[in-house]
Amino acid sequence: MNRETYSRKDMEERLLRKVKKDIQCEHDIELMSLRERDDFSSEFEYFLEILSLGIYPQKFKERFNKPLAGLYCVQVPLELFDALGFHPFRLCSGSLAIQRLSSGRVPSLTCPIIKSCLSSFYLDESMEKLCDLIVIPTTCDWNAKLPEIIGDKANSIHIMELPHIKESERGRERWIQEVYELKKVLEVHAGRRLNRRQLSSSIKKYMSAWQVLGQLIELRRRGAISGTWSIIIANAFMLDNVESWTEKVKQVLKNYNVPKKKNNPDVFLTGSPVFFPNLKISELIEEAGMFIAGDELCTSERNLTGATICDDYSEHGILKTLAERYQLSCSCPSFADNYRRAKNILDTMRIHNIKGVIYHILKGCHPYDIESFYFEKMIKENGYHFIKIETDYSHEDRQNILIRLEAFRETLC
Amino acid sequence: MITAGIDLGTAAIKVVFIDKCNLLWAKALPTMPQYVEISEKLLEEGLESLSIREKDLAGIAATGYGKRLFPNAGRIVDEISANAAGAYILSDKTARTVINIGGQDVKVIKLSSDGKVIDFKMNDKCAAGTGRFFEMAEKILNIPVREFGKLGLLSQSPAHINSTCTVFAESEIMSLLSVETNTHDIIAGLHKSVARRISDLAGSLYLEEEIYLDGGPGANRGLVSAMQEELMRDIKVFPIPQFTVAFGAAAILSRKNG
Ligand code: SF4
Repeated sequence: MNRETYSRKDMEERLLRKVKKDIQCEHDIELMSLRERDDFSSEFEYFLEILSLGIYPQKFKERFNKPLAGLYCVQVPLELFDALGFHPFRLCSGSLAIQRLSSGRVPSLTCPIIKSCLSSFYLDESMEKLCDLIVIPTTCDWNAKLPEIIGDKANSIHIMELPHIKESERGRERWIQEVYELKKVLEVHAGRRLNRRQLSSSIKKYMSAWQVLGQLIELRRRGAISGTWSIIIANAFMLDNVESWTEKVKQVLKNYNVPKKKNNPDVFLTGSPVFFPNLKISELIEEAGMFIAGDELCTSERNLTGATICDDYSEHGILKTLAERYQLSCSCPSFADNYRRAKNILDTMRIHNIKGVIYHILKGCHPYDIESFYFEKMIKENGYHFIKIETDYSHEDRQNILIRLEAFRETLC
Repeated sequence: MITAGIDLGTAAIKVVFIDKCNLLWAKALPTMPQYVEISEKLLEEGLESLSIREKDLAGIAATGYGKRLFPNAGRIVDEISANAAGAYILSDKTARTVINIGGQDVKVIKLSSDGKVIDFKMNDKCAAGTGRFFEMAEKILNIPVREFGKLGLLSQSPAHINSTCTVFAESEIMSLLSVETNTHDIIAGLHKSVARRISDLAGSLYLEEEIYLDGGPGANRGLVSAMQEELMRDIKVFPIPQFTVAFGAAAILSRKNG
């Protein structure tokens, strides 16, 4: 072995050790600050434990003891995986510390979520690497190129081509075909055919989850649970087994009620995803004295895809209903015909008397960034206040953001 | 009823004493790590020159980046609301658009006819177009920044400075110097580039015909004329542009007390 190769390898190992230490530290700091909050309650411990599993991939694997399917974005029908014996979970990361592992591998202005997820493939052990299958819908350009960037670092990747026009017959048909294709791939991996009864039972399990998520949202609209805790709970939904999660949310619904502070005006949070341990935006909004009464994040309220109601119980009927529900109810800005997103926000603002919108953009997340200009105009024209906060996972701009949020709060009072 | 306002900014700490809406005393010192000591020193100096004691004050309001560091503040006011209040009062209730150039940030604030903030924009991580930008130029050109206004106005053909990044602008200035570009032209070019940057920041905000400018660099006449050209609006500068924010904080406190 020549000296140069040896020292490079040595450096890589040192970097890996350092990054792992930093990730641990980043997680610990965020967990500590969450537990120190005035509105912390023991009911939340479960959700924090689930989110902590991100840095203990082996424990994560043991917990489920089934093939793991890692998914990007919210358009992939979870029920199909469950019915075929997989544990489906979202591959999303809010870790800044891990991003060093992707530097030099992707453009510097890559969406932070992609940077963090990609970096996980360069750890010796991660949830991403333990996945038996990874499913990536081609939502934004980053996701479309992600399989190529991940290369041979993943065990197996399946791409779902997402039609960008969803409200047309053509688009819907196309997505149903993609769902059928996914079913085939899953059957090959599982070594068995999809069973209609099992699919129906998975649908039921998820229906209970959508139901409690709906109740949790109501609790939040009433001002009895903060935005940060709601986001934490929804984040955990993306990782854990749906039944355990549903039970734990029921306990929160039963026991928890910490009313928001009297003078904190309600705001609505929209834009790029917020994922543990990067809760910068929601924490700063609360620190500035506002209450996040609702959000439209794909890592929080947008997880609520709604009930699956079939009128045709054949396998085709169920698959078609599932496909349509995951596609049509999704207001991801990667769709070209996305008027529902604006409508949903305006409806929520009107019904719940929320006066301001905080639009969060992760630098490099183009779909949300592009829509932000139209949203600013539309929201202001409807008489609401609007502020755009463009940031990333780093902490250096916290003070600057806080100043803007504090002033934004004053405009709402 | 006298109130004091302290603006603990990133470039300077400014202290004012006001009686209702009348400015009685104002002084600024450059920011140093001893935030609290400097603020207290300025307060003492103000009290002494007005021949009053601290217990005669109706209160002290703090604003600016370091607002939470000052332990004796009776009220903390965010800098955008303070700026708006100060500009509104000092303009005799006529200001509707205010641009503030601070040490580290630029703010464009829109006010309603009753002086409330209706909208604002503020730069994020980048320091381009701020007081720091001028400090950088001051060092490279070796010309005190207070001379910039006068010198920039002498330029017949402002240099092109394209970078919106402070660091890159620095290397652009270096290369302009290396080809012996006249410093008047470099300074005028800097003013133009800052004005362009501010106009981009204002972006979607509807700007009134008349814009009020404050913050330290507001005293720079060359910058004012570049902004006038770039924004195609009249720019009015407050007589003591550095103190509007501290004034506003004190005014908000005295309104609350009064
Ligand atoms: S939609 Fe935005 S946040 Fe989601 S992966 Fe694409 S760029 Fe990233």
